[in-house]
Amino acid sequence: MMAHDPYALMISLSLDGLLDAEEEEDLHRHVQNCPTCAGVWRDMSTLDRVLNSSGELAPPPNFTLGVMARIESYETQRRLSPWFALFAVMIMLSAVVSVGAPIALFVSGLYRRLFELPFLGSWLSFGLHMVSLIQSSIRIALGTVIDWLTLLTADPAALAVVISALVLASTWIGLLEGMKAAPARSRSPR
Amino acid sequence: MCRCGVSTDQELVARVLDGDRNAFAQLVETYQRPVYNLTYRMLGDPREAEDAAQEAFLRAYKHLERYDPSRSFKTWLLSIASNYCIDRLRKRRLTWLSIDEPLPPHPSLTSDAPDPETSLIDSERNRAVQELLESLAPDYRAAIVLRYWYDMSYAEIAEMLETTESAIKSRLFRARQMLAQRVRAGDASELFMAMESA
Ligand SMILES: [Zn+2]
Repeated sequence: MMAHDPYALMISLSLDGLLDAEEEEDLHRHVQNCPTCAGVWRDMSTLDRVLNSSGELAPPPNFTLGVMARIESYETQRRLSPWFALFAVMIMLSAVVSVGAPIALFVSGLYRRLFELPFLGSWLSFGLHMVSLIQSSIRIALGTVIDWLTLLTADPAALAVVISALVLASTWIGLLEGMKAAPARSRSPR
Repeated sequence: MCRCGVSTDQELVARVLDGDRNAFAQLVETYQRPVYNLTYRMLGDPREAEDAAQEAFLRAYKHLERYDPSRSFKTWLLSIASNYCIDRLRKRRLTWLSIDEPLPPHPSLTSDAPDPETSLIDSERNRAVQELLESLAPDYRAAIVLRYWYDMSYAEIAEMLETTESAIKSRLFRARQMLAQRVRAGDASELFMAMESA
Protein backbone atom coordinates (compact mmCIF):
# COMPACT_ATOMS: atom_id res chain seq x y z
CA MET A 1 0.00 0.00 0.00
CA MET A 2 2.64 2.51 1.12
CA ALA A 3 4.89 1.55 -1.78
CA HIS A 4 2.21 2.46 -4.34
CA ASP A 5 1.48 5.95 -2.94
CA PRO A 6 4.43 7.76 -4.58
CA TYR A 7 3.40 6.21 -7.90
CA ALA A 8 -0.21 7.34 -7.49
CA LEU A 9 1.07 10.89 -6.97
CA MET A 10 3.30 10.46 -10.02
CA ILE A 11 0.26 9.42 -12.09
CA SER A 12 -1.48 12.66 -11.06
CA LEU A 13 1.62 14.69 -11.98
CA SER A 14 2.00 12.76 -15.24
CA LEU A 15 -1.57 13.70 -16.24
CA ASP A 16 -0.59 17.35 -15.76
CA GLY A 17 2.58 16.81 -17.82
CA LEU A 18 4.82 17.57 -14.88
CA LEU A 19 7.13 14.51 -14.94
CA ASP A 20 10.48 14.55 -16.70
CA ALA A 21 11.41 11.71 -19.10
CA GLU A 22 13.24 9.71 -16.44
CA GLU A 23 10.33 9.85 -13.94
CA GLU A 24 7.89 9.05 -16.71
CA GLU A 25 9.90 5.94 -17.61
CA ASP A 26 10.11 4.87 -13.95
CA LEU A 27 6.33 5.22 -13.63
CA HIS A 28 5.64 3.21 -16.78
CA ARG A 29 7.95 0.44 -15.64
CA HIS A 30 6.15 0.24 -12.28
CA VAL A 31 2.64 0.36 -13.76
CA GLN A 32 3.45 -2.49 -16.15
CA ASN A 33 4.32 -4.76 -13.24
CA CYS A 34 1.78 -3.53 -10.67
CA PRO A 35 -1.94 -4.23 -11.18
CA THR A 36 -2.91 -1.84 -8.33
CA CYS A 37 -1.18 1.14 -9.91
CA ALA A 38 -2.35 0.09 -13.37
CA GLY A 39 -5.94 0.33 -12.02
CA VAL A 40 -5.28 3.77 -10.55
CA TRP A 41 -3.72 4.85 -13.83
CA ARG A 42 -6.74 3.64 -15.81
CA ASP A 43 -9.30 5.27 -13.47
CA MET A 44 -7.45 8.57 -13.30
CA SER A 45 -7.01 8.64 -17.08
CA THR A 46 -10.74 8.02 -17.61
CA LEU A 47 -11.53 10.77 -15.16
CA ASP A 48 -9.04 13.03 -16.93
CA ARG A 49 -10.75 12.47 -20.32
CA VAL A 50 -14.23 13.04 -18.88
CA LEU A 51 -13.25 16.28 -17.21
CA ASN A 52 -11.27 17.48 -20.23
CA SER A 53 -14.24 16.93 -22.52
CA SER A 54 -16.70 18.89 -20.36
CA GLY A 55 -17.49 22.12 -22.11
CA GLU A 56 -18.05 25.62 -20.79
CA LEU A 57 -21.62 26.45 -19.87
CA ALA A 58 -23.18 29.70 -21.05
CA PRO A 59 -24.86 32.11 -18.64
CA PRO A 60 -28.54 32.99 -19.16
CA PRO A 61 -29.35 35.93 -21.48
CA ASN A 62 -29.36 39.42 -19.92
CA PHE A 63 -26.54 38.40 -17.62
CA THR A 64 -24.63 41.63 -18.37
CA LEU A 65 -27.73 43.72 -17.67
CA GLY A 66 -28.04 42.01 -14.29
CA VAL A 67 -24.43 42.85 -13.41
CA MET A 68 -24.83 46.46 -14.54
CA ALA A 69 -28.00 46.81 -12.43
CA ARG A 70 -26.05 45.67 -9.36
CA ILE A 71 -23.30 48.15 -10.14
CA GLU A 72 -25.86 50.92 -10.59
CA SER A 73 -27.41 50.30 -7.17
CA TYR A 74 -23.97 50.02 -5.59
CA GLU A 75 -22.97 53.38 -7.10
CA THR A 76 -26.21 55.02 -5.97
CA GLN A 77 -25.68 53.73 -2.45
CA ARG A 78 -22.09 54.89 -2.44
CA ARG A 79 -23.03 58.36 -3.68
CA LEU A 80 -25.81 58.78 -1.12
CA SER A 81 -24.28 57.17 1.94
CA PRO A 82 -22.19 60.21 3.11
CA TRP A 83 -25.29 62.40 2.87
CA PHE A 84 -27.35 59.85 4.75
CA ALA A 85 -24.70 59.72 7.46
CA LEU A 86 -24.64 63.52 7.72
CA PHE A 87 -28.43 63.61 7.82
CA ALA A 88 -28.57 61.01 10.60
CA VAL A 89 -26.00 62.93 12.65
CA MET A 90 -27.97 66.16 12.22
CA ILE A 91 -31.20 64.48 13.29
CA MET A 92 -29.55 62.97 16.34
CA LEU A 93 -27.90 66.26 17.30
CA SER A 94 -31.12 68.22 16.99
CA ALA A 95 -32.99 65.58 18.99
CA VAL A 96 -30.43 65.77 21.77
CA VAL A 97 -30.45 69.57 21.77
CA SER A 98 -34.22 69.96 21.63
CA VAL A 99 -34.83 67.47 24.42
CA GLY A 100 -31.70 68.03 26.47
CA ALA A 101 -31.54 71.82 26.46
CA PRO A 102 -34.98 72.47 28.06
CA ILE A 103 -34.40 69.71 30.62
CA ALA A 104 -30.99 71.15 31.46
CA LEU A 105 -32.43 74.66 31.73
CA PHE A 106 -35.26 73.49 33.97
CA VAL A 107 -33.17 71.23 36.21
CA SER A 108 -30.46 73.85 36.72
CA GLY A 109 -33.07 76.58 37.33
CA LEU A 110 -31.34 78.71 34.71
CA TYR A 111 -34.64 79.27 32.93
CA ARG A 112 -35.49 81.96 35.50
CA ARG A 113 -32.47 83.96 34.38
CA LEU A 114 -33.82 83.96 30.84
CA PHE A 115 -36.69 86.18 31.91
CA GLU A 116 -34.23 88.69 33.36
CA LEU A 117 -32.59 89.23 29.98
CA PRO A 118 -33.44 92.70 28.56
CA PHE A 119 -35.00 91.83 25.17
CA LEU A 120 -35.45 88.02 25.10
CA GLY A 121 -36.92 88.10 28.62
CA SER A 122 -39.88 90.30 27.61
CA TRP A 123 -40.52 88.21 24.50
CA LEU A 124 -40.40 85.02 26.55
CA SER A 125 -42.90 86.33 29.11
CA PHE A 126 -45.12 87.58 26.26
CA GLY A 127 -44.89 84.09 24.66
CA LEU A 128 -45.72 82.39 27.94
CA HIS A 129 -48.64 84.80 28.43
CA MET A 130 -49.97 83.91 24.92
CA VAL A 131 -49.60 80.22 25.63
CA SER A 132 -51.57 80.48 28.87
CA LEU A 133 -54.23 82.60 27.05
CA ILE A 134 -54.66 79.91 24.36
CA GLN A 135 -54.69 77.27 27.06
CA SER A 136 -57.49 78.95 29.04
CA SER A 137 -59.60 79.66 25.95
CA ILE A 138 -59.35 76.01 24.95
CA ARG A 139 -60.38 75.08 28.49
CA ILE A 140 -63.41 77.44 28.33
CA ALA A 141 -64.49 76.11 24.90
CA LEU A 142 -64.15 72.51 25.99
CA GLY A 143 -65.98 73.29 29.24
CA THR A 144 -68.95 74.77 27.30
CA VAL A 145 -69.17 71.73 25.04
CA ILE A 146 -69.00 69.39 28.03
CA ASP A 147 -71.69 71.42 29.85
CA TRP A 148 -73.95 71.17 26.80
CA LEU A 149 -73.42 67.45 26.48
CA THR A 150 -74.10 66.91 30.17
CA LEU A 151 -77.32 68.96 29.91
CA LEU A 152 -78.44 67.03 26.80
CA THR A 153 -77.91 63.60 28.27
CA ALA A 154 -79.30 64.50 31.71
CA ASP A 155 -82.46 66.42 30.66
CA PRO A 156 -85.01 64.57 28.40
CA ALA A 157 -86.71 67.85 27.47
CA ALA A 158 -83.48 69.33 26.11
CA LEU A 159 -82.78 66.11 24.15
CA ALA A 160 -86.29 66.21 22.65
CA VAL A 161 -85.81 69.87 21.61
CA VAL A 162 -82.51 69.09 19.87
CA ILE A 163 -83.91 66.03 18.05
CA SER A 164 -86.98 67.89 16.82
CA ALA A 165 -84.74 70.78 15.71
CA LEU A 166 -82.61 68.30 13.74
CA VAL A 167 -85.71 66.72 12.15
CA LEU A 168 -87.07 70.16 11.22
CA ALA A 169 -83.72 71.24 9.76
CA SER A 170 -83.40 68.10 7.64
CA THR A 171 -86.97 68.49 6.37
CA TRP A 172 -86.24 72.05 5.30
CA ILE A 173 -82.99 71.04 3.63
CA GLY A 174 -84.79 68.25 1.77
CA LEU A 175 -87.51 70.67 0.63
CA LEU A 176 -84.95 73.22 -0.61
CA GLU A 177 -83.01 70.55 -2.54
CA GLY A 178 -86.26 69.30 -4.09
CA MET A 179 -87.16 72.82 -5.21
CA LYS A 180 -83.75 73.26 -6.79
CA ALA A 181 -84.20 70.05 -8.82
CA ALA A 182 -87.91 70.59 -9.71
CA PRO A 183 -87.63 73.48 -12.26
CA ALA A 184 -85.03 71.52 -14.27
CA ARG A 185 -87.35 68.52 -14.50
CA SER A 186 -90.45 70.59 -15.45
CA ARG A 187 -88.53 72.58 -18.04
CA SER A 188 -87.15 69.66 -20.01
CA PRO A 189 -90.35 68.42 -21.74
CA ARG A 190 -91.03 71.83 -23.41
CA MET B 1 -6.72 34.48 -26.45
CA CYS B 2 -5.12 36.89 -28.86
CA ARG B 3 -2.62 39.52 -27.88
CA CYS B 4 -4.98 42.32 -28.92
CA GLY B 5 -7.48 41.05 -26.29
CA VAL B 6 -4.95 41.39 -23.50
CA SER B 7 -4.15 45.00 -24.29
CA THR B 8 -7.85 45.80 -24.69
CA ASP B 9 -8.63 44.50 -21.20
CA GLN B 10 -6.14 46.91 -19.66
CA GLU B 11 -7.55 49.77 -21.72
CA LEU B 12 -11.07 48.91 -20.65
CA VAL B 13 -10.01 48.72 -17.00
CA ALA B 14 -8.38 52.13 -17.30
CA ARG B 15 -11.57 53.52 -18.81
CA VAL B 16 -13.68 52.03 -16.01
CA LEU B 17 -11.37 53.62 -13.44
CA ASP B 18 -11.96 56.92 -15.23
CA GLY B 19 -15.68 56.48 -14.61
CA ASP B 20 -16.78 54.82 -17.86
CA ARG B 21 -19.26 52.15 -16.82
CA ASN B 22 -19.89 50.99 -20.40
CA ALA B 23 -16.31 49.78 -20.53
CA PHE B 24 -17.09 47.49 -17.62
CA ALA B 25 -20.16 46.18 -19.45
CA GLN B 26 -17.79 45.21 -22.27
CA LEU B 27 -15.59 43.30 -19.83
CA VAL B 28 -18.67 41.51 -18.47
CA GLU B 29 -19.71 40.57 -22.02
CA THR B 30 -16.26 39.16 -22.70
CA TYR B 31 -15.88 37.12 -19.50
CA GLN B 32 -19.43 36.23 -18.51
CA ARG B 33 -19.08 32.72 -19.92
CA PRO B 34 -15.88 31.61 -18.12
CA VAL B 35 -17.03 33.24 -14.87
CA TYR B 36 -20.50 31.69 -15.03
CA ASN B 37 -19.07 28.29 -15.94
CA LEU B 38 -16.76 28.49 -12.93
CA THR B 39 -19.53 29.43 -10.49
CA TYR B 40 -21.76 26.74 -11.98
CA ARG B 41 -19.09 24.04 -11.68
CA MET B 42 -18.43 25.15 -8.11
CA LEU B 43 -22.03 25.54 -6.91
CA GLY B 44 -23.96 23.14 -9.15
CA ASP B 45 -27.16 25.20 -9.23
CA PRO B 46 -27.97 27.52 -12.16
CA ARG B 47 -29.66 30.22 -10.11
CA GLU B 48 -27.00 30.26 -7.43
CA ALA B 49 -24.33 30.20 -10.13
CA GLU B 50 -25.83 33.26 -11.83
CA ASP B 51 -26.07 35.13 -8.55
CA ALA B 52 -22.50 34.23 -7.62
CA ALA B 53 -21.16 35.18 -11.06
CA GLN B 54 -22.89 38.58 -10.86
CA GLU B 55 -21.55 39.07 -7.35
CA ALA B 56 -18.04 38.20 -8.56
CA PHE B 57 -18.27 40.88 -11.26
CA LEU B 58 -19.57 43.40 -8.74
CA ARG B 59 -16.65 42.62 -6.42
CA ALA B 60 -14.23 43.03 -9.30
CA TYR B 61 -15.81 46.42 -10.05
CA LYS B 62 -15.61 47.53 -6.40
CA HIS B 63 -11.95 46.57 -6.08
CA LEU B 64 -10.81 47.40 -9.59
CA GLU B 65 -8.06 49.70 -8.33
CA ARG B 66 -6.44 46.66 -6.67
CA TYR B 67 -6.06 44.95 -10.05
CA ASP B 68 -2.48 44.78 -11.29
CA PRO B 69 -2.57 45.62 -15.03
CA SER B 70 0.59 43.59 -15.67
CA ARG B 71 -1.42 40.44 -14.86
CA SER B 72 -4.22 38.78 -16.82
CA PHE B 73 -7.60 40.30 -16.10
CA LYS B 74 -9.32 36.96 -16.67
CA THR B 75 -7.14 35.23 -14.05
CA TRP B 76 -7.83 38.01 -11.55
CA LEU B 77 -11.56 37.78 -12.22
CA LEU B 78 -11.61 33.97 -11.95
CA SER B 79 -9.65 34.17 -8.70
CA ILE B 80 -12.33 36.49 -7.22
CA ALA B 81 -15.06 34.15 -8.44
CA SER B 82 -13.44 30.97 -7.09
CA ASN B 83 -12.70 32.40 -3.66
CA TYR B 84 -16.23 33.75 -3.46
CA CYS B 85 -17.64 30.31 -4.32
CA ILE B 86 -15.43 28.59 -1.74
CA ASP B 87 -16.72 30.99 0.95
CA ARG B 88 -20.25 30.43 -0.21
CA LEU B 89 -19.92 26.66 -0.12
CA ARG B 90 -18.49 26.79 3.39
CA LYS B 91 -21.39 28.95 4.56
CA ARG B 92 -23.85 26.71 2.77
CA ARG B 93 -22.50 23.68 4.57
CA LEU B 94 -22.88 25.48 7.88
CA THR B 95 -26.52 26.35 7.17
CA TRP B 96 -27.23 22.81 6.05
CA LEU B 97 -25.72 21.49 9.24
CA SER B 98 -27.70 23.93 11.35
CA ILE B 99 -31.16 23.85 9.76
CA ASP B 100 -30.87 20.53 7.96
CA GLU B 101 -32.38 22.02 4.81
CA PRO B 102 -32.83 19.53 1.95
CA LEU B 103 -30.60 19.87 -1.09
CA PRO B 104 -32.12 21.71 -4.06
CA PRO B 105 -33.26 19.46 -6.91
CA HIS B 106 -30.63 18.79 -9.52
CA PRO B 107 -30.85 21.39 -12.30
CA SER B 108 -31.52 20.51 -15.90
CA LEU B 109 -28.85 22.13 -17.97
CA THR B 110 -29.69 24.77 -20.50
CA SER B 111 -27.26 23.97 -23.24
CA ASP B 112 -27.54 25.52 -26.64
CA ALA B 113 -26.94 22.21 -28.44
CA PRO B 114 -28.95 22.04 -31.67
CA ASP B 115 -29.54 18.28 -31.65
CA PRO B 116 -31.82 16.96 -28.84
CA GLU B 117 -30.00 13.61 -28.77
CA THR B 118 -26.65 15.31 -28.32
CA SER B 119 -28.06 17.70 -25.74
CA LEU B 120 -29.47 14.78 -23.76
CA ILE B 121 -26.09 13.04 -23.66
CA ASP B 122 -24.48 16.40 -22.89
CA SER B 123 -26.81 17.09 -20.00
CA GLU B 124 -26.39 13.53 -18.70
CA ARG B 125 -22.65 13.99 -18.85
CA ASN B 126 -22.87 17.38 -17.16
CA ARG B 127 -25.01 15.97 -14.40
CA ALA B 128 -22.55 13.14 -13.78
CA VAL B 129 -19.61 15.58 -13.82
CA GLN B 130 -21.44 17.84 -11.36
CA GLU B 131 -22.09 14.88 -9.07
CA LEU B 132 -18.41 14.06 -9.10
CA LEU B 133 -17.45 17.67 -8.39
CA GLU B 134 -19.97 17.98 -5.59
CA SER B 135 -18.39 15.05 -3.78
CA LEU B 136 -15.25 17.17 -3.30
CA ALA B 137 -14.55 19.71 -0.55
CA PRO B 138 -14.64 23.34 -1.79
CA ASP B 139 -10.82 23.78 -1.90
CA TYR B 140 -10.36 20.55 -3.86
CA ARG B 141 -13.25 21.34 -6.18
CA ALA B 142 -11.79 24.76 -7.01
CA ALA B 143 -8.39 23.23 -7.81
CA ILE B 144 -9.96 20.64 -10.14
CA VAL B 145 -12.19 23.19 -11.87
CA LEU B 146 -9.33 25.64 -12.45
CA ARG B 147 -7.07 22.85 -13.68
CA TYR B 148 -9.53 21.27 -16.11
CA TRP B 149 -11.74 24.07 -17.39
CA TYR B 150 -9.21 26.88 -17.37
CA ASP B 151 -6.01 24.97 -17.97
CA MET B 152 -4.27 26.82 -15.14
CA SER B 153 -0.81 25.77 -14.00
CA TYR B 154 -0.15 24.72 -10.40
CA ALA B 155 1.54 28.06 -9.78
CA GLU B 156 -1.44 30.00 -11.16
CA ILE B 157 -3.95 27.98 -9.14
CA ALA B 158 -1.83 28.44 -6.01
CA GLU B 159 -1.77 32.19 -6.52
CA MET B 160 -5.48 32.36 -7.24
CA LEU B 161 -6.44 30.35 -4.17
CA GLU B 162 -3.79 32.06 -2.03
CA THR B 163 -1.85 28.94 -1.16
CA THR B 164 1.36 27.12 -2.12
CA GLU B 165 2.15 25.09 -5.21
CA SER B 166 2.78 21.99 -3.12
CA ALA B 167 -0.66 22.39 -1.51
CA ILE B 168 -2.20 22.45 -5.00
CA LYS B 169 -0.11 19.44 -6.03
CA SER B 170 -1.49 17.44 -3.12
CA ARG B 171 -5.05 18.79 -3.53
CA LEU B 172 -5.17 17.75 -7.17
CA PHE B 173 -3.72 14.36 -6.32
CA ARG B 174 -6.16 13.75 -3.43
CA ALA B 175 -9.09 14.99 -5.50
CA ARG B 176 -8.16 12.66 -8.36
CA GLN B 177 -7.75 9.78 -5.93
CA MET B 178 -11.21 10.38 -4.45
CA LEU B 179 -12.84 10.79 -7.86
CA ALA B 180 -11.05 7.72 -9.24
CA GLN B 181 -12.41 5.74 -6.31
CA ARG B 182 -15.92 6.84 -7.27
CA VAL B 183 -15.22 5.82 -10.87
CA ARG B 184 -14.09 2.41 -9.63
CA ALA B 185 -17.11 2.13 -7.31
CA GLY B 186 -19.28 2.50 -10.41
CA ASP B 187 -20.60 6.03 -9.88
CA ALA B 188 -21.69 7.44 -13.21
CA SER B 189 -20.32 4.31 -14.89
CA GLU B 190 -22.78 4.57 -17.79
CA LEU B 191 -21.33 8.00 -18.47
CA PHE B 192 -17.81 6.66 -18.62
CA MET B 193 -18.94 3.84 -20.90
CA ALA B 194 -20.40 6.47 -23.21
CA MET B 195 -17.16 8.39 -22.98
CA GLU B 196 -15.06 5.38 -23.84
CA SER B 197 -17.20 4.42 -26.83
CA ALA B 198 -17.35 7.99 -28.14
ZN1 LIG C 1 2.01 0.05 -7.51
